[in-house]
Amino acid sequence: MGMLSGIIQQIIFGAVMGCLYALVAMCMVLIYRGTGILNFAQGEIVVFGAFVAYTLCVTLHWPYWLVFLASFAVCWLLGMVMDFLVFRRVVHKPHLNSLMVCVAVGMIIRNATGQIWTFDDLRMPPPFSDTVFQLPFGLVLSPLFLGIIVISLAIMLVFYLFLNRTKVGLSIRATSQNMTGAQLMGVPINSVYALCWAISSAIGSIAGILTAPLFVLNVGMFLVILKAIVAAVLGGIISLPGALMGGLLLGILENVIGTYSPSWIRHIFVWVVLLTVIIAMPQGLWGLITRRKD
Amino acid sequence: MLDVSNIETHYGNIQALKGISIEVPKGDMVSVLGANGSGKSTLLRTIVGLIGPSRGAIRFEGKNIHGMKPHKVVRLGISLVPENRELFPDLTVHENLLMGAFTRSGKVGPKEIEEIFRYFPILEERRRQQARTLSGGEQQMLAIARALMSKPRLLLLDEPSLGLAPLMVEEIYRIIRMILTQGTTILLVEQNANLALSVARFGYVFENGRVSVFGPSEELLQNEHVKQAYLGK
Repeated sequence: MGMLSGIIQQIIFGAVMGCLYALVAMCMVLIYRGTGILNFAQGEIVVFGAFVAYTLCVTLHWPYWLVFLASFAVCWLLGMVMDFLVFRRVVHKPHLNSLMVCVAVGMIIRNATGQIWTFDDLRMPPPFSDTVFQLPFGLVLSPLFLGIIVISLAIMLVFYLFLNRTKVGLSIRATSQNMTGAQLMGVPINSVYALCWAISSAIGSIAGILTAPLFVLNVGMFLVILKAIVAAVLGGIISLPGALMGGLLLGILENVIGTYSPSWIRHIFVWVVLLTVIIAMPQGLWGLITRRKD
Repeated sequence: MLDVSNIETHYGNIQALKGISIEVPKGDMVSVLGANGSGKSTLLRTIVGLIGPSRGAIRFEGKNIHGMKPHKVVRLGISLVPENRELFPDLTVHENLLMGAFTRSGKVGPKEIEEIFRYFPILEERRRQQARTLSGGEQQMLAIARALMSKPRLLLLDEPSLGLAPLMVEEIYRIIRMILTQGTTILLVEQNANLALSVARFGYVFENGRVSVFGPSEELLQNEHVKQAYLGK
């Protein structure tokens, strides 16, 4: 394999991870725009969803399509419960309050997940075969990788259409821009918040099911997922196309740079990107492209 | 139609309304006058449920709406055009109007939007623009147009002339009169007393959270205290 096709191969692998980052980043963008909360507990929610899927899949032998649906539903409920008990009380409160709340909720979910299942490593069976097949120019791809890319992009597309083409989607966008205005139009804003948490948790569970087979499934996987926050910030934290661009760019850069440099660089690279973006480009990629000055 | 009796409203420890009673008859236009901080906006915000009243009763068509959540008050047929407009800045003019019809089931027909544009022709030219890009007067028009989309029977207007150029104020008030003649009841809060008393049939003057004078507009225009304090005569 030549140098060029080697790099292209790493870009493809990076895009797989990038799609997963983008999916989770999209959830974070939804919550941030809707409620002003930067959800640091998103990683734990994703991992929780993956563990639910593990039980259904490995212990109960449910077919995988049903596992997707059931985990989606369980995490949808988890989102609504978290909103009702905790998050609706810190909507548009100072960042410090909501940040602490997210850290606490994340800790609770992480430990609960460990107690319910295990703190050890599990092997999550992939929903699609992970045996690679050959592409032209010596490149390889597996049904699993292809499945991750297709499912992630499809969810993002459906979600984008939901936000931009439906009445409920419009009311979510309106509420995220002006809470008082939305109330005056008759929008039950508490239901909108609950819906945002439900959607972001449920989509998070899908991201969890797709991520787990790439690594080992354990409670520490939240650290992998948490990198999506860098994708969200890289994209500009308020836009869905930004989250997609940020996710893909992050996944690809991480993989390409990780492959051609010592492993310690790979580990700190993502966080260096976060610092660089916040210091030098706080408006993010999407902000740079649209150049909105406000 | 709207019957507010003896309400008191607090912002924390500060009492903004100290026992306000007003009445808005069906099909009429009533104005509330007063200086900054006299409690005019607080009254409107209390009626629609954005602030909970500590005491008193608010009846709309005989139904007690005291303490009701804002999103439920709208469904009864009350719509507020707030002082700072509360538009959705990144939504287009068209989307803002659609949000105005949120409480109504079914699709909003193109006919209905056309009808709104007959009141506000400038909005038709701007329909694909984001609300943030509109001028102050256009934003005020959009706020009123959006409130009309819910087909309210009672329209609450909070200082629609604030910060607008004289020509624009004239235009806005021409539209307000049209809305009134279409049968919508209006409760208008306005600092510009001349303007308010020239369009409304009744007026209430607020001072420090209390009603100091009230009566038909012609009487208020003759009232010595009102003349001196609010009409600059």
